[in-house]
Amino acid sequence: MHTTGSISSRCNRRLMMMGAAVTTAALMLGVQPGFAQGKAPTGPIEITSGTSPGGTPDVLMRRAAKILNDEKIITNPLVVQNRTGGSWMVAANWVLNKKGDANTVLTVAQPILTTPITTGQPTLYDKLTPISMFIQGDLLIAVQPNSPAKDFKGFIDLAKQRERGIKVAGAQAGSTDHMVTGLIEKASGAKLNYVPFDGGGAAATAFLGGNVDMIVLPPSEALPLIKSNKAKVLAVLSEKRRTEPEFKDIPTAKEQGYDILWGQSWGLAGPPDMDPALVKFWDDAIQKLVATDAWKAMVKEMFLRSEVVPASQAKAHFVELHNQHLAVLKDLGLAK
Amino acid sequence: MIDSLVSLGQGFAIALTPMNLLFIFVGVCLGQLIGALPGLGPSAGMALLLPITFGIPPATAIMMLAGIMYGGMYGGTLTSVLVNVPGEAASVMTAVDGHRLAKQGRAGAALSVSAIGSFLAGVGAVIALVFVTPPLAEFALSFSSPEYFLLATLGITATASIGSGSPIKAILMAVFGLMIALVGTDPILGSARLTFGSTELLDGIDFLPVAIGIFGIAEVLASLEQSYDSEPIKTRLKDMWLSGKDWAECRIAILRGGVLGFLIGLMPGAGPTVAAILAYVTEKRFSRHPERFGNGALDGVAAAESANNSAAHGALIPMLALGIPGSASTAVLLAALVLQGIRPGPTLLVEQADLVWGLIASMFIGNVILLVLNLPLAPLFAALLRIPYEYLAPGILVISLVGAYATTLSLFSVGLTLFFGMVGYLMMKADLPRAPVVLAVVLASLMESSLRQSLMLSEGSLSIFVQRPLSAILLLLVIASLLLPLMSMFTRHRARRRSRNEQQISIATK
Amino acid sequence: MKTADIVSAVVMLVLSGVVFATTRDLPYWADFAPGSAFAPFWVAATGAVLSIALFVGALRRQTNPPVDWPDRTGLQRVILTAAGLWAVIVLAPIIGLMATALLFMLFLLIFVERRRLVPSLFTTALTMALVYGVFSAWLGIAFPKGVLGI
Repeated sequence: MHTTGSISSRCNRRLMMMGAAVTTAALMLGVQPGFAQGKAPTGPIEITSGTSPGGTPDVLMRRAAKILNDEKIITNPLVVQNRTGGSWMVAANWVLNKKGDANTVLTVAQPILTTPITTGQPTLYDKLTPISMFIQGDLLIAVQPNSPAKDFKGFIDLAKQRERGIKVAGAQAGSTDHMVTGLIEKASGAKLNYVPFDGGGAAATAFLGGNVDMIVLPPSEALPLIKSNKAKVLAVLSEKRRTEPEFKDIPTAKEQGYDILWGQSWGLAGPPDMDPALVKFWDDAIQKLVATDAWKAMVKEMFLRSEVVPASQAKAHFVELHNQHLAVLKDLGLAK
Repeated sequence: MIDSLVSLGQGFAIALTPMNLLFIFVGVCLGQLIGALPGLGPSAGMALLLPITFGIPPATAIMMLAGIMYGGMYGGTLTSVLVNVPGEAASVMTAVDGHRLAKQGRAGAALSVSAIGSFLAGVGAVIALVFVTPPLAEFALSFSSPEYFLLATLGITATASIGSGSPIKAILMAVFGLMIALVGTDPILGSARLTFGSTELLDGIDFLPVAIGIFGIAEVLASLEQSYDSEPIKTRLKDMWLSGKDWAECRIAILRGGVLGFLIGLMPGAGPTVAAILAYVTEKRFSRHPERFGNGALDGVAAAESANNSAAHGALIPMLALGIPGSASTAVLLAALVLQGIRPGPTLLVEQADLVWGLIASMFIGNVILLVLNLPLAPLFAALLRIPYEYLAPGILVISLVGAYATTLSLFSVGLTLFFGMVGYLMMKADLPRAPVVLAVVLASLMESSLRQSLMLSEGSLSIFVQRPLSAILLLLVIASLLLPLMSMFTRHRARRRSRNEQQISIATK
Repeated sequence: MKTADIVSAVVMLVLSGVVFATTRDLPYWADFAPGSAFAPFWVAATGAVLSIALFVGALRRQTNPPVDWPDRTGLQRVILTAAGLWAVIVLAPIIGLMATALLFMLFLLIFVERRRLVPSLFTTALTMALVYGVFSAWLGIAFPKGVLGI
């Protein structure tokens, strides 16, 4: 074991040198005056994430942290920590226990709302200090390229021919995919056969293997499948069509006569009793973040949207989101 | 064919730049280290290092991360063999036999055969990757829930034959493993099972705390029983390397393990751990001396280690060709691509040809580096066992605990690891086999979810298991694996009775 | 061996009972496929049957090799080590994981194993350096920090 150490420390040192170089660079940048800030926390700030590295919320927060630091909007080192477990409950509880802490914020993602509902635990969204929701993702309904359905209506007609005849692949029970399936059932009256897989990757595998008929995809994952003719997209579940040339011809479900609106959204919340001055600090930082070119480029590249719900409205927004999720999960019989 | 070779040539041109070579070297070294440290597996290590790949070019970053992935397969062997703590999940079978070999003074042989097996299987897998990626990717897609269910069943039924003790105890311990795996949220319906109101248990009990506890911590506790100065394990110089006899014994095991591991690695639902388990079990069936399995079978180690490395490489095929992750590590590689602004998917091979071929070429280079690192060093690592165990034991315990903490950043996992350490110690005392517990924990959720998914896909009809050609073949294998031991028991029984009868006759005629 | 087998059988029988009892209220079958209680039911049933088989087998067996229990000092060492391990979990949030690990190593080397001081300190320093260097400095893992901030 000790010999392993010595070999590795050789590799280590190289990396640590790189790390040191990065840190010095950061320090040098840090010396320059940042934007005027009301009250900034001192020392490094942890952005707690409940997914393992590489999950969408994690990727978004890492990108956001990098831009915030690079553009000197926030000069404190921002560290994304992945506290996985209990479908985000471990991450949420970590932040909940940091009452009034200035150096911790929580990534807000759907499970913060849904896990308490599906497991019958006390709600979390009303205990955290809302900061802002600032990233939104649309969802697309895709079917097999050889599906006889030409549009969303055709698909619903097909589904109505035989109850539970259409197989839908998605992530675990209570996930976004499951909720979308529930919304389709509710809006159309058709009954679908939802098959939960171990995460989105496994669901996509089942779809590509032709084992299921329908799947719910974000635009960035749908694009390569559309390009290689492995999926046919029937509808986008947003209010308006997307504007990119790749997606502008995909009609919304709404314009096809089905009132199905659903999407994903991400943001930040602070621990309970967060200082209002700190909320303001974050609120300002996010306003500046979304105005940067780097952020806009990322949003475009990942086919997301970035509409800021500022701190002043975040609380009401959280309540609204909670009620929407509660209603859908109740219809699916998953609310405890 | 020619196209592939031309592309591969281009790939080498990309991978052989000094900067890329450096990062491949760094990646495989890190992989070796992370694999060797208990707790953190290659996927967790890659994930933790994702942020530092931000600033480097995509191809370089991916080459380094992939280096960690297969480097981990080489590194995991070390801790498994030397201290019986699985360094990462896929070397769990090595912990069973490799450590027995080390106790017999054959650590050097176990380490060298693992390095050679991993290398041959790895390079073989990359060659397959070069020439037949598209058809293999299509083949990978023909595996779905029914096949996974039968595959997991095949693994579970084999647990009865693991270990030398009573099959009842082995199956009972597999049942114990299944119980551990039941804890958590039901993957299909989302209801909590056996969580006793604990939030930490909602995600279930991960395989790592169980494996580190039951194998590693239990082993250290048992070793502390001897209060006199323990004799360091003797490693004779001539045992450091493989003998010609060893090689003859292991080369077919490497071939079988490598091919099987590669095929299982291809399947997006299985991964290197399942590959290593099934390769080990298969090897036992084919081996000329199955009784050695569990007591230090060199060919068992060779098969399992070859399988996990070729599976790690095989998992890249569905990832590169279709953008679907075949293992936890490839999921992180996909995430790294996304972080770099590259969209994985069926178009990756065309749109990012340089990156893909550079990566493939880098894997040839990385595997050579790992072989060069591991083969001469195997005796050196084995010599670590000359350090008195009293000095190693506390270090093993501390590194195991810290490793368990690092996987989830919570002391709860550390507690679980300790709990299973105590359980493992008591199991050793009660003469209960420990490997079936760990195997069942790995295979249980795959088995349960895929059974339920299969029936949902078929709308409740069992015919799904016979209508699909691949699952029909697997079903035959499952039936055979259940019937063969019964038949051999039956024939043995008859033979015994006959011999007894003959004896009686001979007594009667006397 | 007889007692060990009987104890194992009883423990597994109890566990099977717990598995069965706590999942009894979940659905056994849902629509097309087995429900949440399907797997627990069969696992518990198999566990119960095998436990009974082990129990009966132990009672009927004539020859019983003795259990390989350690002697008094050996047992003491095992128990002290186990207690020390659990103390790590209790102490880590209070004085920090690194500090606790350091104390644990010294406790084990000097107090339990009664090694000489200098090699013990050397081993401890080497291990802590490895742990700190890899996990904390390089992988950037945030260990629990105690009141002292280490």
